[in-house]
Amino acid sequence: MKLINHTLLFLSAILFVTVSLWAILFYYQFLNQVKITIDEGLANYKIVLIDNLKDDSVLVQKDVFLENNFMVKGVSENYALQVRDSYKDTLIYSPLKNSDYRTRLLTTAFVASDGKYYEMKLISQELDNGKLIENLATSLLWLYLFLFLSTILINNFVLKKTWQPFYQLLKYLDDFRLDKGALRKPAETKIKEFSMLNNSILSLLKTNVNIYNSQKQFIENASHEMQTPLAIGINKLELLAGEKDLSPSHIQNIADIIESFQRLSGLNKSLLLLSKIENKQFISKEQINFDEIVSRILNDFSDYTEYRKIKIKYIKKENWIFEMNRDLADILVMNLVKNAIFHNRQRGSIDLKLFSSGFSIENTSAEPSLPADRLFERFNKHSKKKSSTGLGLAIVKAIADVSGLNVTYSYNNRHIFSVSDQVQ
Amino acid sequence: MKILVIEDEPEMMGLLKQFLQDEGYVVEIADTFNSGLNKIIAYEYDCILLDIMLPDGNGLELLRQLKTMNKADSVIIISAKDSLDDKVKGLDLGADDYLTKPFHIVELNARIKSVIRRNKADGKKLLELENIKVNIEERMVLVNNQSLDLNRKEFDILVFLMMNKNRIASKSAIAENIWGDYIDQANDFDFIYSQIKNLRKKLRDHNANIDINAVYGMGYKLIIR
Repeated sequence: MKLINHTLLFLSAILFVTVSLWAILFYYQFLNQVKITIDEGLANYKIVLIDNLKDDSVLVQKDVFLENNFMVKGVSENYALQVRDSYKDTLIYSPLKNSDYRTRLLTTAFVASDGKYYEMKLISQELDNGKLIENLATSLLWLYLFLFLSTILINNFVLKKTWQPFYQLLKYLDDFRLDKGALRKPAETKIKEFSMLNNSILSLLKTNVNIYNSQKQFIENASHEMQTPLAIGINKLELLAGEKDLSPSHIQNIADIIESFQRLSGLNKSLLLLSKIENKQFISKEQINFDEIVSRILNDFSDYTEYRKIKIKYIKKENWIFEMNRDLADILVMNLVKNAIFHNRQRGSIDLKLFSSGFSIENTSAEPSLPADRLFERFNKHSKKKSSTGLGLAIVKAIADVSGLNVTYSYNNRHIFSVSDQVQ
Repeated sequence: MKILVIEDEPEMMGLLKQFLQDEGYVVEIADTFNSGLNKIIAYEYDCILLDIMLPDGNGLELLRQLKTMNKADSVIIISAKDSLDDKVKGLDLGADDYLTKPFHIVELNARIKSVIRRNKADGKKLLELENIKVNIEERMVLVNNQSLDLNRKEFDILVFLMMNKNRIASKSAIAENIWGDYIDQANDFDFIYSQIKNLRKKLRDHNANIDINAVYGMGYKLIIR
């Protein structure tokens, strides 16, 4: 839910409650005022009436309210003396309307000129609560609607205006890339909170960029620092192997050490490559013709596959053109082909199928089905082959991830790796 | 043949110096940017081996200065950084080759010989050994002035081994030189054996005065009979 709708919902709920409470209070206040006014009218009427009536020689007793809206009844002195003017709501039957109606009733007593005591009741005009409430409610509804609409407008205007720095900051963060060099500042704002937020984010990003850069530097330096001693070791051993008077077993030992060093160096290079891919250091993209890459790589490995008597079938159903980094595309295909070759068995086979949206590579192997979920993890080795770094498929996965490709594994008596540009 | 080695790592330096002297080169050394620069200004070299990570400067800057002096020295950059950027930059600046550490010493040897041969002005671009003549540009091999038919891989192996005569070329060094770096994971480099076997047979059939010996566990060695 957008902030604007959220506050709107809140505000309208609060408005509704306040307006309703206010309506109730207003209603009673208003009713009270109306009654006071009516009562004053009744009091004046009473004085006029008593003035007119007290001198009547024969005071006609009236038991029902007629058009004059009063009734008079003779009472004893004692009773009359204890009557105080009292106003109250009452229901009166109206023969005209044939129904009860609500009205104000004034009960009073007076003494006529002849010394007789009378009790008099006066009523006002109809007091129509229902209509009052109805009118009040209608106007309140309008008021509420008006308030609601103005809230929307004000909200829209004020919030948009107020939160503008926030949206600017969001866009700034969206555009931010850790690997995109220099850090620019987010847009200035006069609002203190947003300005503080900007500063916090800026310093957070600065820290991250620094850490990222030093990590990158560290990885490069570590690789550099490791390669040099490895190079020295390998080259010294190579020269040593050329010395005279070495027995075949000495040479074999030297060869083994060289091989270990080379594996270490290969591991080092693979890790460096992996971190470069994950750091998105392969930025440039171009349209890649996979038919060309696949053909070239299969050809490059042909001597090796011929030697192992592995039959390679390249089935090009359609060419696949996809936009990605050229080096990564090369490495992707190469690692999968290598994987299919090196985990194959003698006289095995490889089928590579190219479709319009990807390719699949199937190979025979002495190894059974592999757990698909852990297959692409680093150092997740399934074969006992010494030469395997356990990083080849992790690199494949990393390339697929940064290039927007899907790579999946399945097993159907053959190991099948599929790369596709379709979202699953 | 004079070679300048600019390298800050003393062990690496000693190793290269020893190796190159064994190969018959006159070797001079520099272990800093400034001493390297002084040597480049003062002398001419057939080949310069340049480490780009130097304690007091970047080797690429040294290369730039060399090229502004219009010197024709061949330059091979040796870097521990397998960085494409550096490679492209170095070759753009006029380096003749780029080698990433760790490398096989025989690979370095072959590269040095290649750049020196390419830079020779007299057009004598033949590689000669005993009764073998190899024209690398035209990919022709003559044994006793008779043409020897080799396929592409056999030819490349022969050139590589001839450049490293009497040295052991490990199977992985041969594989990487001929088939490319990507083969490095193979471990099982025996697949080059069939190519070597054919090459050896052809050399023998043509009475070449060289032969290729297997060094058990390591690789192969080209020897003079």
